[in-house]
Amino acid sequence: MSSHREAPEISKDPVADNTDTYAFISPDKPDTVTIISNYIPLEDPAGGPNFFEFGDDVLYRINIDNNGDGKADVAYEFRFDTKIRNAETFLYNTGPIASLTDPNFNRPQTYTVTEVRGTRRRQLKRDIPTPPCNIGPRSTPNYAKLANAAITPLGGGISVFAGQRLDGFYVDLGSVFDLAVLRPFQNLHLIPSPATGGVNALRSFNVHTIAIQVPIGALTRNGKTPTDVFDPKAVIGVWASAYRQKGRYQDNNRSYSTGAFTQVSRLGNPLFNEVIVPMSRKDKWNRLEPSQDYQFAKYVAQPELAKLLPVLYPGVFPNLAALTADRADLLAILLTGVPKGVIPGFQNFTGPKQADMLRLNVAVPPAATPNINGILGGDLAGFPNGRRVFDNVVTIELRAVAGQTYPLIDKAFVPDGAAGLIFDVIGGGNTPPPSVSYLDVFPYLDHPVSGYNTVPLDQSA
Amino acid sequence: MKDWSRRHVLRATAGAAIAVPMAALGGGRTTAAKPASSVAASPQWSGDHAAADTGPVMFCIHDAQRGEVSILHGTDEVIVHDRQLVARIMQAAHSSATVSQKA
Repeated sequence: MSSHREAPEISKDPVADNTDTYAFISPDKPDTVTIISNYIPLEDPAGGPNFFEFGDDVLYRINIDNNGDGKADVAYEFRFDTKIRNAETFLYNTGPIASLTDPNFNRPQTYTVTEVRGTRRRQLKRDIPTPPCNIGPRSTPNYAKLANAAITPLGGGISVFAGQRLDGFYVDLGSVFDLAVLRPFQNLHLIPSPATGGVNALRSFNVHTIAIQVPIGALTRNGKTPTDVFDPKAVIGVWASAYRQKGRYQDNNRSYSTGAFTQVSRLGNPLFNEVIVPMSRKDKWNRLEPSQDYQFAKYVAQPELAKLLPVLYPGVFPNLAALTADRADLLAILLTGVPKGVIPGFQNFTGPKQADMLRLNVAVPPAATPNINGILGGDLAGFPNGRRVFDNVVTIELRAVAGQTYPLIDKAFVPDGAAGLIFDVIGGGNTPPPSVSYLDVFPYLDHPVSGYNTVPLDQSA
Repeated sequence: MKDWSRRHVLRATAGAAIAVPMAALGGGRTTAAKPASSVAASPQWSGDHAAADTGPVMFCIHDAQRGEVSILHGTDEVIVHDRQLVARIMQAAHSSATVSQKA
């Protein structure tokens, strides 16, 4: 998955498990950046009576680096607080929930947003409501209205939303983790089987989303809104992180957390920790900030998956098999950004400091006709220039690892024909699978599917 | 920073009541010095969720040989170096009689 359950320790702590991070120029408000971080992987919509919620004991943070050192220069911190309105019932709701203040909503969760710039901390707003989970037509009869009411302006052109959403990420998990089968190429695999279409393993699962929309000038180094793509100050690095307090105590009568916060999860580029970092070092990676990622550069330079593909697909990737040089293309895409002169009209280079961050060039305007394959599809506003909610990141990264981006740094290299044919879930084209949908407006990820209306193991892609 | 003492540490945790001399201890927060332009790698949260001064105190000794105690309180961590203190805590930790007396 992008980062759902990507490391051994965090997979046991879902409320702190960052599943996806997105950063893009808001298509309907192009003077703002929208940053989204998702948590709680694979939420079964019917998972009651204790439906999903953020952790009151977790500190969530969205980080922006605007000078290329892999450290945050601006951060937004989110802390949640949950109440029980009726202590004498086991029910999440005691009747239909018609509004965020409806007394039938028995377990409302609110949150506080704090902006941090260097050592300066400023609380932007407290007691911001979150919507309930989407339960069904009796409990949450007008869910869109309910959820939209939770979109909250904070002043200064900033808006936030926190709550349940349909997971917009799509991936053929059952296939890729079965010894890297890439449907529909199963017939070419070392252990072959008949070719069939891809499956979105995340179909009908929800996540919990923290989304913030911020004016571009509030995030750039000089406080301006750049228009020159080649202005070094036009590129920001973005990642999300989650923290728990170091001390946790439990006995029969009480439980509490105390002490300093320590990082337990982070996410910049999709799949970095999941597919690049060896299992023995994944937990360590989750505890570090991007400025320390130089120690993982060797796994990017010689990715394990690039060695496996020629073995698992005999004769399909001969050029990739012969490629032994360090993967300067992947090092640029994932750890430094792409410098000027590599892709016509584009750069998102943040300097030589190797750090896993989404790198967004805010001078690139939103695409009038987006291509879900991002820059590989000729759309400079898409991944790896930041990441939009619909970007086909698994396919993009699989193709890159398979060698399709290596000609960017070595024009003599000819990618294997299969590298450009790899796709995940969907059969090429420019449309996400039918099981996912998105909004045209903030927070862009669609309303969650309800427990009542969701059929488990629906086979539609 | 608080004027931590061995007695304070021991009394505030797990109901321990081991008699030790009162003494102020040197200590330091773990936050490293950093350029003012960067946000601290670990959040310096001091909002409503921070425990008040009356909140619980926990401590952890990762390596008794070094005489180092990590004290967790509110949203802070204080590192104290005191071999005597650590020795007494370790003695209490290995003394089932002491624990049961105070339980």
